[in-house]
Amino acid sequence: MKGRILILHESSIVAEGLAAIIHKYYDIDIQTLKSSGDFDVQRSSGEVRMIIASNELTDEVYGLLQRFKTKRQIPVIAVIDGSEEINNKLTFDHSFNIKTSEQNIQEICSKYLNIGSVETNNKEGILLSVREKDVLKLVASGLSNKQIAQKLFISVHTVISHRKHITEKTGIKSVSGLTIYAILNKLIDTEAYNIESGL
Amino acid sequence: MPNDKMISIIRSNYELLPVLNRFGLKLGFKDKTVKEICEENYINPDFFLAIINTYNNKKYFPEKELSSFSPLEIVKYLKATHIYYLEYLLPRIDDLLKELIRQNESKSQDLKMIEMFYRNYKQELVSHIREEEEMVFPYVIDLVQNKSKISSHPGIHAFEKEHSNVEIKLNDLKNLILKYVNPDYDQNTCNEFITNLFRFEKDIMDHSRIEDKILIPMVLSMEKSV
Repeated sequence: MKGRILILHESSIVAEGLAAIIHKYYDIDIQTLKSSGDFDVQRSSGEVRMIIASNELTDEVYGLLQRFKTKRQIPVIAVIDGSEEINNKLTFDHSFNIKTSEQNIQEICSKYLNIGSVETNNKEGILLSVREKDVLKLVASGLSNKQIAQKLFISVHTVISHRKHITEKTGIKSVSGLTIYAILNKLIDTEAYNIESGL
Repeated sequence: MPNDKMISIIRSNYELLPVLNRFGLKLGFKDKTVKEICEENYINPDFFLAIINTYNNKKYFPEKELSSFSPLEIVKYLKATHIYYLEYLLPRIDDLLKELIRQNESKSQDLKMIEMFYRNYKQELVSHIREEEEMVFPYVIDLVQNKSKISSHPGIHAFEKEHSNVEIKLNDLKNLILKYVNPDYDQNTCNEFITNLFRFEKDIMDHSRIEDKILIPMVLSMEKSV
């Protein structure tokens, strides 16, 4: 999964615990920081997709979160230690406390990580469109993107975009894999096509 | 960790047994610790643990210990991995696939297609392994022993990109079988086939991680210093 989650909390138990729970469900990079001073925008790879932060905000942390929230619309979730109120300096999108169940954490994460609309996997199982099937047939018969574009009177860019969708929907990336897929799904005729040479 | 009992490592993940074998270790550890076993067998315990950790944790990177490893011990380990693939795991997968096709009463073409894809994949993989054995490892060994660079060699960089292609095809193979094959096969043979395929995938990903995260950074810094 692309991007990363930032956990800003002075307690290792809280930060590492949350990270372990989230890792059970999502293969995403998680960075745990004890203080915002450890945060280095340059060093870190991948965009921040969600922040989980202590409710007790120092001015420094507050500044950082404020920047993320207002400029980049990144969801921020508070971790509440006990019975205290949510700090109203910053509008948190949600909050966790010690009693929040694992299932709840997972639900909140998938909501704020926007899983279901951003991930490519969710396209799996959707049937290929007629046009995508056309492209697939030509890919399977060994044509290059340029040749396919010429044959279907579309741009190379459009061919590439179709191919991307085909891969997302089928879960298959290589040309030889797509060829087998086309045969298994009877999109191309094995009799008319010399498979051995195409692989 | 060095003072953990060796047996506890296996108990926590039995898939590590072949990994241990690559160090020349077999069962019969009694209550000895990792450190004791390593010392008895002249293995660098830090290196041993780094290999175990990369296997267990995809994100593990032994930055601190890296400088204490010898590229030669890494190459030795990687070679042992190749032997495991070529002499055991791939032939095992071959046999299971043959068995699967033999048992398939409806003689469906699907499995034959899969077999063709698999054969093609295997060929590519074997030539990738050959290349490492013939081009990359001798280069690394030479770099360590003679502290000099073979001028005609393109350097370690050239071989990084090869991995991804092999990984893509393995993933395609898995998807083709899991998603698109006709369910008229023998279930037990097929399950065993798929289990071995997953095992192979996990192992080969780990193998690539060791190359990309341990061997290549070491060789790159050696290249700089010669």
